[in-house]
Amino acid sequence: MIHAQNLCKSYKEIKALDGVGLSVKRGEVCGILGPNGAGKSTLFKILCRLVTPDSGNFVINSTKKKAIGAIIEKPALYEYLSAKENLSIISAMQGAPKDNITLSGLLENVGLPIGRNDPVKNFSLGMKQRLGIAIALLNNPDCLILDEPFLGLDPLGMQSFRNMIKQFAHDYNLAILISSHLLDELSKTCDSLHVMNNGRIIQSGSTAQILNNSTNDYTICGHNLSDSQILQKQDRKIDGDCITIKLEVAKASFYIKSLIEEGIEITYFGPEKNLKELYKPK
Amino acid sequence: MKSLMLILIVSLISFHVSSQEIDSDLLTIKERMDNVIEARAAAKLELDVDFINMPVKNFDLYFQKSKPISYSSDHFIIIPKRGLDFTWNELFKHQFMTIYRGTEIHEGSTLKVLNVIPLDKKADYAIMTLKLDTIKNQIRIADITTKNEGSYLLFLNYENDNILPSKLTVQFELERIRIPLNFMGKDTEIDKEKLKNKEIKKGIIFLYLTWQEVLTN
Amino acid sequence: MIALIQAELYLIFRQKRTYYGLAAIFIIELFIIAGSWYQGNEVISVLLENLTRSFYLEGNLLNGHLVLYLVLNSLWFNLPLIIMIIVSGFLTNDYKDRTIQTIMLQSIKKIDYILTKYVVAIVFTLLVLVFLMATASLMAYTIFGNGDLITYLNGLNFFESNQALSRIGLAFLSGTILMLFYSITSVTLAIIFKEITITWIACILFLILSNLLLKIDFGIMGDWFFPKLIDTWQYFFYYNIPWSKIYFNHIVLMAYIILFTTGGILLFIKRDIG
Repeated sequence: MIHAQNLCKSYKEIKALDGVGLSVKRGEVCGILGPNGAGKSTLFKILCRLVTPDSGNFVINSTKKKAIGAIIEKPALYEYLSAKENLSIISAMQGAPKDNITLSGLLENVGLPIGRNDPVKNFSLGMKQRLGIAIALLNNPDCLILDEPFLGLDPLGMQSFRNMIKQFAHDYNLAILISSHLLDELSKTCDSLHVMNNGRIIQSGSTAQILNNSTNDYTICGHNLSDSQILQKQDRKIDGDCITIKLEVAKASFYIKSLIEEGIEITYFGPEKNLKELYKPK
Repeated sequence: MKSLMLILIVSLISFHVSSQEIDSDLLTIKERMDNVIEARAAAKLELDVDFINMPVKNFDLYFQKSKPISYSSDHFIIIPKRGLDFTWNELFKHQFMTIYRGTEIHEGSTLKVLNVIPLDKKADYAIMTLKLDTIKNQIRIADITTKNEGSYLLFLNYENDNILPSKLTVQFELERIRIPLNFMGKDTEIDKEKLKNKEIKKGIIFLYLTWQEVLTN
Repeated sequence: MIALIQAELYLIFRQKRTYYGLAAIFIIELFIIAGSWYQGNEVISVLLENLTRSFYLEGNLLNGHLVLYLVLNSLWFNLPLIIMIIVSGFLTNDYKDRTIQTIMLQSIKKIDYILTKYVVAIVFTLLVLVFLMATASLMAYTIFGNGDLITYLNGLNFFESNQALSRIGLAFLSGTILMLFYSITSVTLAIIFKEITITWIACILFLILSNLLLKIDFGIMGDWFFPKLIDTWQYFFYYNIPWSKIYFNHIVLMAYIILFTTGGILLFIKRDIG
């Protein structure tokens, strides 16, 4: 659906993008993980044709009038209009349907109340994000590009948002590209991941693969961990009821099994992602 | 005897002077003017003044004996104070004497030229030169020098031998006229030097009168 | 693009700042009328003081025509300033609120977007002039009535009422073209500077410089230089209207409008968004 090759962009002496390429298929949720200033927003702006690349090319395989719907950075709304009025006016601008049924359907899809008529400036950040997505979905694009959509959301909001994204990819067969610096959220949302830093894609692959590559430690929490023989042999860091040990991904299952056999009550067993390792150029 | 002769000579001179104070033709004109009790005219005024642009103005003029001439119009009108006193109120109001200065041809007519000198300090003119048509008993030209309001030259035309003129032409000077700059207008291209040098401005007024009602004795 | 224009007009009239701007224009008119009411006769007396020594002046010069003429004089600075501030905001607020990005992320072409801004600027300016003429005329003629108009331009000019009315009407039309020029310029400045305050400063500077440059003699080249065109509406109050000069000035002014519009569009299309 989206195929980008060798995209480069510089702003004066700063190289924002340096030979970036990626692909996203229909129905796929693809994540771009990177710290602030990695070049994620610049990449998205190029794909949305807001910014012209210095070199490189990209293709959006869509015949729709509006191929891509996007939110770049924060959603920009007409704060003095209500949610429906925002949708209505932006629909009107591009000749998209703006009848009440269509607009109400959009609001419902993103989990916003239909009957609310007060200006959007009264909305919470999460509600504005949802309205931003509704606007991005106007005119039925084939792709959705979301730049830092989890920013400012509370954990409940993030969960709800995550579910909504997956639903759109699945139900509408959209190609979805999300950027964030929150590895946890991306790992739970995305099918594939690209890690970006200093304007370059450092590593790409399935989410599980990327996460595995950057996992050296595991944190185990339980009530009687001190009784475990297998853990005592390890170089470990103790923090209350939790212990962090160095452990390869392949051996994780073995350790879970051994702890259970030792009669240890495990409340949590999860990988600790090493961001330095993650962002190290391969 | 000698003193008696002296008295007689002075009396004769005085009598001569007093009998020459007002010219008889001028008196005739005055009498004709006195006969007019009131009159009404449709007036048309054209102004030809260097610094004033005004379209032809139409207004009604009303004259009543011994009263100032009055004007009425739906539009704004600008009327010179001097020069339109064709009733010669100012002239005949104060005592004056006339001195005969000969004749002159003007537009095919022979006009009698008189100097008019006021004898009353209250008169607001210093000297007048009148040129009379003695056949039709009309004042045709007046060259008036006022004490405070400058000088002006008045040409009068009449229909036939009417006493009230049908056309007046007034040539006059305006002294010490200051036009305030930058008022309600463009303030470019103002030539201040030119304005300073042209403090004395000249103009001509044409007044056409169509008499509609004339009431006489 | 019609839908885009309609949407933009809807947005403009949904915002409070539009009405603040119109209120400002109305307040300026009220000030002019109040000033005329309280001091108009005095000012006329001062203007005509020297004339009254030698002339009788009969008639009412403080009338609706004169008041409208005074309102027209707000075309020098007050009105274009308000128009430029409001109109430039049509674009700079989109930059500030980032709604320009939201719109550009829709299936809307850049050229359509920016052309819409210019069209809406023109429509809004026309509406403002109609508003100004209608309200000023209503107040001026109701309060002060009719009469001859006096102006001082190349001499003291008197115009009879019906002539005054047509001249004032033509002057408003001419002033409308001038306001369109300022309006278009403000959009172009908004494209250049993007930021609200900087654009305001640029607009004010443009206005001040235009008024200052009007007074400088540029010789024959001056005929083509836009500051020399901003007083064209005043020519309708010369006693003899210089029609060829007026036509020429308006054609050149419209050429500037096209030039500034084209330049603004090309610059906008060339630039990245965000």
